[in-house]
Amino acid sequence: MNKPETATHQCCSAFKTDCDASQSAENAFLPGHPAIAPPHFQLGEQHRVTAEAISHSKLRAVPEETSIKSGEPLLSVRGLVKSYRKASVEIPVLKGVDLDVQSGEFLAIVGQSGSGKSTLLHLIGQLDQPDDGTIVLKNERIDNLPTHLRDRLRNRTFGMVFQFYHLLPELTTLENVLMPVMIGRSLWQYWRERTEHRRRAMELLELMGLGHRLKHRPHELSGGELQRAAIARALVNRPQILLADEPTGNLDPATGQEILNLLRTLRQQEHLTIVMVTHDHSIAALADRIVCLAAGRIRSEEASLLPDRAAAPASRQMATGVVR
Amino acid sequence: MYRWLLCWRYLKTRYIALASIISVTLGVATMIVVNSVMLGFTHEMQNRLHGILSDLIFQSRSLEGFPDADWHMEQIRRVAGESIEAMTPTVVVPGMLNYQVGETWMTRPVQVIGVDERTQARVSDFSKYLQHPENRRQLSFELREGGYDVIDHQADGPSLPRDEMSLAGWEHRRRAARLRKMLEQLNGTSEAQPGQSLSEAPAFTNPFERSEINEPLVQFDPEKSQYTGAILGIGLASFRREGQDHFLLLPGDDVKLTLPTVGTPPRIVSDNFTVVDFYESKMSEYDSNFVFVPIRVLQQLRGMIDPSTGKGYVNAISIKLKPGADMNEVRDRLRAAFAPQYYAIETWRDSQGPLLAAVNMETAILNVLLFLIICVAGFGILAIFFMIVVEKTRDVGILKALGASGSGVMSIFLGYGLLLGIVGAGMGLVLGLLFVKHINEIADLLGRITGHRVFDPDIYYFYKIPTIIDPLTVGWIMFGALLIAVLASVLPALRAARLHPVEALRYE
Repeated sequence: MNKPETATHQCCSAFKTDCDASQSAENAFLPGHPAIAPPHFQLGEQHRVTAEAISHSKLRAVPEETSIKSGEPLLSVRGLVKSYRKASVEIPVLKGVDLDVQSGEFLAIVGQSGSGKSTLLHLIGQLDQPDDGTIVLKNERIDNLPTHLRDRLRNRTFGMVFQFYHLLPELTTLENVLMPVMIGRSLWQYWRERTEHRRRAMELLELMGLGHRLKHRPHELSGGELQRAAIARALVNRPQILLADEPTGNLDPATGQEILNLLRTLRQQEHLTIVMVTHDHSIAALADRIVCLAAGRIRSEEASLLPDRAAAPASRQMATGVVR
Repeated sequence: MYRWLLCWRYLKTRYIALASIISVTLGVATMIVVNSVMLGFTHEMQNRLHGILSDLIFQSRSLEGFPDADWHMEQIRRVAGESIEAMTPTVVVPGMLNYQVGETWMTRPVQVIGVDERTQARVSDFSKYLQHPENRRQLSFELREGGYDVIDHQADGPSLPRDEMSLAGWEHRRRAARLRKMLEQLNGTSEAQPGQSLSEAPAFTNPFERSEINEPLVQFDPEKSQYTGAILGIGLASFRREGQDHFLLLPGDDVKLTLPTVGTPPRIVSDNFTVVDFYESKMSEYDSNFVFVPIRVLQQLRGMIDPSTGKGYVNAISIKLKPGADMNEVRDRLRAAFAPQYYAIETWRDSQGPLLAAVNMETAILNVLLFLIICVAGFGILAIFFMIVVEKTRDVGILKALGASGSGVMSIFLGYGLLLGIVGAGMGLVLGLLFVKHINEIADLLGRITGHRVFDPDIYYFYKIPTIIDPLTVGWIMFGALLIAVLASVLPALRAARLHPVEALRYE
């Protein structure tokens, strides 16, 4: 496999609305073949986290029992339409987005500010409901579920990481990480299983290099630490899909790289599927696959711009953005 | 789980919200204090009202009364005998009290009550309010040698001693008589002295003297004998200044009572009595109005004894009911049995109804006003909660993104409101109870600071502010305060529950 940083991404650059990218087919990570950690994987001296450390840790995610047949996408989005109303003017944000995400994939969605990539992520993560179109998870439609089931999906199936970390300021790091566990369980249930949950949360934090920060409040942590705590929180309920909305948007490049590498390692470790939204190409380059969102549609993706594919732009694969 | 954790953390980190519930605290504390004091006063008042009034009063509508108390009592027993514990006949008649202080004659309008000394104590707490311990045990109209209470036996706190009372009794009577004799010899006149028998003064021309029935003995020696005993309300014989009682006359002194006789038109009769004790119910209305004399003497004096049968007229029968008997039910049965144009049958509550109703009304109005204060506090909570919800918009978005339901978010704020209510009302409870416990010290302190007596024993005849804490009332106050705190947080909580997660997350 190639090193991701060798890929050149010009897609959706600030100067172009149209996406064009030259990308070799070999650069695309295929589903089911997780990437090896890149050689520049490094963290701060104080809390070094290596892929080795992670693989040797006791942290073992329970493998997802996926009912889908191999080759079928884990998550499938079709014709997604969403618009916002502002002062009686309807602003369309998504105008029919089609997207497939394979199980175990690390997908990056890139696009300009305002291109609707966050909205897409919110729709997938059940924070919002589309005006039209379908979202199918493991062959089941999830965009029209009743509220309590959507709450449940947000809690158990999706893990969310935000640009601004969004930790609760009143709680310690450990409590923040435990928050999804507490939300998803009754008081009695949580109390019964509390040691187990606490161990899981502490292991995650240890992994994130925050073992010494358990009792600290968010305002005492640095940006990188906050984001790592947020990732731990997103993972504590063992979700299948991690949705990251500009996870490095507020971090300096080195810390951003560090977070990305952490995500890649975790994906392997936790059998995660990651969908990340970013406008930073150098960050997106660390993903398995990149799709580009512009003017409310998936415009292109690197894999589709292979010479033989580019010749048939109207093909289904092009339109749906599936990498094959 | 997360709800309670967050409620708790919000409670610990938002002091502004605690400020908003200070009004709840104050409201609850004030309500507890006011209710305790009002209840204390009511209770004290009822005790004193009931102390003189028996459970039921069977009265004649005319001053003349009805003949043969025994026959009436038998009839009453026949109607409601199973509920009746004791009965006693009484004669109540308006009259005039005269006594001499120095050279001045004092005249007081009084209510003269003839009581049966054997049975009176059985129907009411009458004897409890007397000043001689022996009289409290067994009522007697004989003057005691001495030993009257110097310290008010009803005061359950420090009270100023009534030193003058240590002289009361035969000792006082003999001294007064000797003094009078001495003065008579010195002056050769018949100047009346305090404690002197009025009828003995030849120069004294009392227009009522002719009608006296109880003619003085030929050789009446005030050093050795007494007139008919009379028990005076303490307010008739004393005045109070700065908590200290000063007596105008003491047990052992003689007084003169003037009464209307029966018959139309009534004549005026007058006789001498010897004060044998004081009656102190601490209800100034009673203490400065009532004079108790033996019923037989009063009947004779007023001509209420039927010469043919020797049976006396009475105008009231006091009835004490057995514990647990329904006062109103017995009253209604008696009312049905006796002709209403001749007999008025009332419970003690009926006869003091307007007074008790006024006190209850005052309590109710005070409660409504104070509860309004807590309601105002509720709006304070509402405003502050809205602020907190706005401030926490993003956190609500986060919680929803992590899978919290709308009702879960709502319950955070409802729970927060409840917790604030518990803290506020709890502090109010502690504050209120402490205030009630130390109310007299606080009143003293306030009096010292302002130079005004907050609670003047001259007016109330109590040494302390009476308080009673009714757990049920306190419970209702707490419940009301909690309810208001929760109700005030409903709107903000609903708003938080309805926040759209995406918009909430975008909120800066």
